[in-house]
Amino acid sequence: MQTAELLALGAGALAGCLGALVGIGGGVLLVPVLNVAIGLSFNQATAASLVGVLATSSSAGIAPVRRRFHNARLAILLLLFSVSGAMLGAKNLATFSDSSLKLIFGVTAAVIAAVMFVRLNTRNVLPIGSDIGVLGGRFHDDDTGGDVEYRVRRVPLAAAVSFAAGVLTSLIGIGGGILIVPMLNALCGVPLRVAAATSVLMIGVTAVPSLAARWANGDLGDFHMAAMTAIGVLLGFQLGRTISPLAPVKSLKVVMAALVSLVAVQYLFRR
Amino acid sequence: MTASEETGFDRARRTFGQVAYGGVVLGLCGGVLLHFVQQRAMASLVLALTCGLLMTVPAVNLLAVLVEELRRRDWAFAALAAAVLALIGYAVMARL
Repeated sequence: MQTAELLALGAGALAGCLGALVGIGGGVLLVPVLNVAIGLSFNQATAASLVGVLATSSSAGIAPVRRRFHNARLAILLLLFSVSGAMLGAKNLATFSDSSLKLIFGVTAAVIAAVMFVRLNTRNVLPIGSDIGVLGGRFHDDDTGGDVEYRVRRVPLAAAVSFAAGVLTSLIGIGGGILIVPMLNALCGVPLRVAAATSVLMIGVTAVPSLAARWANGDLGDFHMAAMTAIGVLLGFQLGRTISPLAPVKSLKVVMAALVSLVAVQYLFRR
Repeated sequence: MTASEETGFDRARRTFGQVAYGGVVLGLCGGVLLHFVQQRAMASLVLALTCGLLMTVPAVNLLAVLVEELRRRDWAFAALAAAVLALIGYAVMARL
């Protein structure tokens, strides 16, 4: 096995682990590694990253259905916007300017990171019996040992960010979880574990039209590097899923906020 | 809720998830192995089929959500799920 293949495997493993812990597809990590460190073209890196995103989403499907934290109704509603965004992005792969796209992404990530740091100690849960609305939910919280409820707020904002995440999925190969999870948690009142699980469900569906477009463009090549990345993701996801119950929500929030800050810095200052 | 409270439909969903996951693991490992033993054409074919399977999994999950909403007679969310399925179906078919 060559260095490039080992790098793809390692980056995939890290991305998969993050996927299990905080619900991101890991494209934000995979694209730079595949593009800069391994030397794939940006389009090939994007396509391989999307295969990794789908592997993350597929890994979540083996958990018992009732032990999954995702909010299916919220996911369906937001998917309408993220899939529309992905289709728009896929149709305009060559139209958008790279630098303006990265600037928008960087500013959005910076705002989300700031809100996450401000709300590190805030828990998005309500007492049992509260009005949770149409999109809210209830789940067993391992941190408190009891059942908790939550209500989804600012749905139009969630729809707008999901649309933007869909566009970015097609254009720069990220799963969109890096925007969706902090947005749902910090701005929409969704507990982190639910936000992460809902994001994993969403990123897989959103990646389908984007990958179809990349595949049709021939960006997957002979599929080899994409496969190495995806194998890494599958291994990393299992590791992350083992660690996840042991990691307190606050630590996950710190990891997520730090990650979003790094991404913001990368996109704002290294364009 | 615990795993023991799973309904037949839940078990079917989980079984599909496990079978698909197994297929993905086998396909990826098999394809990479074939690549290393210089069977490049066969490797590409196996990996292409595996990518197709990876793209099918989210669509089937979405279909399961649609069925669940239909069983609950929640027509609004069932319509939303059907709309999303139609969108990704259109997006994929347009690229074939």
